[in-house]
Formats: sequence, structure tokens, C-alpha cells
Amino acid sequence: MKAMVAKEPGVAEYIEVPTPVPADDQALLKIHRNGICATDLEILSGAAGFMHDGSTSYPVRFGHEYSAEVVAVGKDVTEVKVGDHVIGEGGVPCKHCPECLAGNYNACRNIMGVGTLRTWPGSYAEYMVMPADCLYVLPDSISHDVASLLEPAAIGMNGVNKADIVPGETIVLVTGVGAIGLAAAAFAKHRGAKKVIVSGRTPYKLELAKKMGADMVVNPKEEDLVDVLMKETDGHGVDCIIECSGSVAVLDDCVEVLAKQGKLILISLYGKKYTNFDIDAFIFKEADMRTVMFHDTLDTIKAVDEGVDLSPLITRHIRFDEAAEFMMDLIKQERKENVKVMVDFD
Amino acid sequence: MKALIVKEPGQPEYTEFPKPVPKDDEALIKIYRNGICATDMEIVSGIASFMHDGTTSYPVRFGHEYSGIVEAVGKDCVNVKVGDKVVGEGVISCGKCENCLKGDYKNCLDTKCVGTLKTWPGSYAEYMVLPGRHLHVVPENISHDEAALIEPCAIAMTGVNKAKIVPGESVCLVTGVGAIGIAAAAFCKWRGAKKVIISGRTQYKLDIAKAMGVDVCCNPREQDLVELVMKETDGHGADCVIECSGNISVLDDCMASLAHRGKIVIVGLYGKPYEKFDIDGFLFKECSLDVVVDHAIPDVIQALKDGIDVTPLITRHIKFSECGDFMKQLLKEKTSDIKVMVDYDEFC
Repeated sequence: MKAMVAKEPGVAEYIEVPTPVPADDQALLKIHRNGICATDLEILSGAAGFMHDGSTSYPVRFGHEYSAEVVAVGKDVTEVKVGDHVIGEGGVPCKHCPECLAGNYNACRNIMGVGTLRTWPGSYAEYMVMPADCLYVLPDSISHDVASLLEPAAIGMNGVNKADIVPGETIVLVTGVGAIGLAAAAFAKHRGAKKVIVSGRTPYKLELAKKMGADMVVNPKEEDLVDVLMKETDGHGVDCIIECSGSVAVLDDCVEVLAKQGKLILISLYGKKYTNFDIDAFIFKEADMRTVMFHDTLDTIKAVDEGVDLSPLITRHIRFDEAAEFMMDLIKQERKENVKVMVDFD
Repeated sequence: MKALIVKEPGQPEYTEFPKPVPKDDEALIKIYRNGICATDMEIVSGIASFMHDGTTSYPVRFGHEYSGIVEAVGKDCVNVKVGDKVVGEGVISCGKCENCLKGDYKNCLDTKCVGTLKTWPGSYAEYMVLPGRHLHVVPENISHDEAALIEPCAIAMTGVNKAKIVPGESVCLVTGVGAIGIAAAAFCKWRGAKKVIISGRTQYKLDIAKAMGVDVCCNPREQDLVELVMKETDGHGADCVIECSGNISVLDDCMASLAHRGKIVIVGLYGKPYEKFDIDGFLFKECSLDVVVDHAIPDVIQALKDGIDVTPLITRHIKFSECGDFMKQLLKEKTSDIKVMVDYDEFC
């Protein structure tokens, strides 16, 4: 079968590898779609932190935002069957470290990230295998396009869940208009937030935010975020902020616009330290800070099944055989015009 | 009646005031004890931030860590009756704003703090008045000494409550060995923490913490805190860190000591920004940060009823009439006390 690998920094190429054979507890998946994630590009460019800390090395079998069909299963598999439409966990736990033995798989000290850290072979390939208990079977209502958006969306959902939204009361600010931010805004609205405000610097992505349910959008290039939000909330500030921009520069504004007892949810990594954090202001507000590293996949499937439409996130489709060139181009030009580029394996 | 006030920075002095008369919703409280708090000393010295932001001005009727007995009540006073031993909350609602009129006193729009910010007249006085809704009755068998420790202990307890300790499982690190830190460590044990580690730079305070039931003491002058925490937790780190030192330089070690999905609870203020917060390290461990402003007074009363002894925190007793001079001396030279208790027995 054909797979795409990040061979070395800057080089993506197609290789021929044997089609994997599922072990007793595994399923063989035929990949239908795969979304291009910023992490994929960081692996390709070499910027990803885990490519430098000794944990992971080139060539990398990357890709993790996939939608697939089960085509074979090992003899012990009970969770899925041939023909099921599935997506999977972002990491495969070792099941024998102290954390795994305690059932805290997300904290597995040997976890192999699918297509990322300590690489479990990823989904830029015609086929992949996964432990069957790391898979989610999807309802028929969900298309392959939308299914491959569930992985990033499920990170947004974890942030929304940590925001403790009270229907009809909570005012939510989402900072950042990437796929995760936009999905978080849609889910916050679905959860009944009284008002969802999205801030971002790209006008057409702000338009997408509105389309996906944001009540109000702010472009901080044009308006002062703090001023606008204080006015909008009669000086109270916002009850929760879901920070999805990954930009440390946004954090000061976040701390300033939080309401008393507000919640600041941090989703993405920053790549640098947050300098001069006004911790006393944060304490005076009795605020709290929560972080997101994982997925609430089941809630995401449920929300999508209930009608949240994630498909506007896909701003471009390409074929699998175009992906290598496309991605190498993308890292050279540092273009950010797309929200989600979907790779089609049809 | 006699009250101790801070007339201007550096000048605590005794003043005669008329004995207050409780309004309809208030109780008149005769004060028996008052603990000296670091905030009191910041008001005396003038460095308290609220003395500079336009909210509060000298002279200040300070004092807020008290134990008293109700001597009279207004006709609508709730919660307490004459003869009750009481302690009170630090934040007093106005009773008149739209939220108070709805009974939502916690979100009062015009609060005053007892003896501090926007000053509700405080407890360095023979008597004070307070709305009954902000008072808590203390059982008879809890001494005035213990009762006057309830206020600082209640801040510690809120921190412990926010740490969400799982009995028999959680490992807690408390940084700071003031009254709040040591009380927090003792309450972690009371809540069933599997192991409680405390860190501080003063050996005799660590010894008091040990005597109050803390499992492991660390003096970071002598050993590396993060290393010790990792050793004590088989490399997992602490499930929760309760930061009570108020020292911004401790935060890096706190963050590094946290376990996966650990929680840091900040009790206190720093007076400066956190210069370099390793936010990615915090994210990778999926940690959370919580802060404490509130007081969990009923939980402390319960802990005291359950036999937790907080009196080792009192390292000195002085008389009310000595208090002014003691504070002036304290401005010149710090003592190594944890809690100095002011005794009002001369009026009793």
C-alpha cells in the first residue's frame, strides 16, 4: 500500500509499505479522509517540539485526523466489526505503566501518539491498524468529511466541557479562528451559552464563525478586544474564555476581560513562556485556569449527530496523491488562508 | 469603649469611641481575642495596596481575626442570640443594593471588608457590630484562642476544598509555613490526603507542621523541593499544590512538582506579576490553576469539632493594651512568630 511519510524536515514523500495485518486486538482500517493539522505541518517543517526532545525521529508516518472503514479485525476484537465507520483516539496507551494500570490512559507515560509523538503509524496511508478499543463507531448520519473533523472538534469540545456553561446565562469568548476555535464556538452555542463571541484576525474566518453560531465577532486588528467586550457585557467581563489561538500575546487581554469567578480554558500550546502574567488580577477575580490536552469524542459525536454542522470548516479538498506537494508548499509559504484542508483517499 | 486604630502609616493608637448600638439586623459582639494578621501589619506600615488605590483611607479601624460573644441583638438579627460565641465573615454585604434585596448577599455590589478594604469597623476594639447573616456560632467547647484562628484557617480550608482531595489517594504539597500554610496542611490530612508535604524556610515552623500531622517537611534551603516531591511520589508529582507562601519565586517549583492533571491552588497575593510562566509545561500535564478569596468557616468549625488542634499556630500571647507598642516594634523588627494572639481579658 501507499503511505506518505515526513522523511526529513521539509520533505514529504510517498513510500510503498506492506499492508498491515491486524493483531488479535486490532482492526485494519481503510482510510477515506484525512484532515491536515497544524501539527502535521510542524512535523514536516521540523518545528514540532517532540522532534527535538529525543522521543520521536524521522521518517515519521504522520496523519491522525482520519475517517475510516473497518475492513478486517483480529480474533479478540469485540468493539468494532467489518464495515463500521470509525474514527480513533489520538494516542495508543501502553496498558502496562502505573498510569495505565490505574486506568488513566491519557497519562500513559509511554503513549504513542497516532502520527505524532513516539509515532504510532498514522493515517496518511491507504490502510492503518489501531487497537479496537481506541476506536469510536460513528452513526450513519455522519459523513466521512465531517468524521475526519471530529478529532480537532473533540479538542474544542473538551474545552467547552471544562467551561461549565450554564444555558441561557454564560457569555463565552473564543479566541482564535482555526478549526478548534470555530468548533468550540459552535459547541458553546449548542450547549446553550447566552452569547458566544469569537475573536480572530482573518475576516473570512470570522464570517465562518458567524455561520457556525457565533453571536458576535471581533477583529482585534480593527477594534480593541477589551473595550468591545467590556461594553458588550456592561463592564462585567466574560464568564469564560476558550483560548484557541496559541498566541501568548492574547493572554493579557484574556486575563483582563474575564469576569469575576471567570474561567480561562487554554487549549493550544504556545511554544514560549507567558511573561508577566498578572497573577494578582487573576486572584482578585477569583478566576480559574484549566487546560485541554485531550478529546471528548463521544460528546462531539453526539453534538454532531444532534445537528451541529462542522462542514464549513473544510475550506479545501485535495487528493491523497497531491498531499505531499501541497504540504511542502504550505510550509515554505507559511500560508494560513485555509481553516481545514481535507485529503481525499477516494 | 477603647479601640486600636491606625491613624496614619506607622501610627497605631488607642482611641475612645462610643460603644456601638446594633441596628435591626446586627449583633453587638464583645471581643475576647484577635489574631494579628500580616494584612494588619501592612495597614500599619502603609504598604497594603488598598490604602493606595483610593478605596480605603486612614484612620483605619482594623482587626478581623476575632472571637467574641454576642451581647445584644437587633430585632431582625438572624443566626445568633445573646450569649453565643461567634466568629464572622470578612466581607460584609450592604443589605441595600439590588442583589442584597434579592437575598443574594454574596454578590453584594457595595461590600465592606472587616478591618481592611473599604473598612467595616474592625475588631481591635472592645466591641463591634456585624449583621447576623455574616456571623457563625462556634460551639462552647471551642476556646476563644481556637475561634480567633478560624478566619485564617477558613482561607486555608477554601484552598483545601478547591484542591478536591481524594481520601487515601491524593498527595498534597503545601508551600509556605505561615498560619494559613500550616493550617492548610493540617486540613489536607483531615480531608484524608494520602500524603502531605510542606515546604518552608523556617525550621521551627516546619517542626510545628510536623507536630500537627504533616507527613514530610522540606526546607528548600537544604534540599531541592521538586526532587523531594518526585522522590516521595515515585515520579508522579503532587496531585495538588496549595501555594500559601505569597512568594512569586516559589511558583516555578510548584508547577514543576505537579502531577499529570494536577491542580495548583493559590492562596494569597504576590504584589508582582509571574515573570515567566511555563504555560506549555502546564498544558502538557493538563493541569489547572485555582485561586482562593473566600472563607470556608463552617468546614473549619467542623474540623475543630473533629478534634483538629490548631492552637500550636499561636506562638505568642499579648494583652490588648500592649498591642499598639508591639505593632510599632514589629515594624522595626520582625519576630519569627506564626500567630500572635491579642487577649482582651483585661476588659472581661
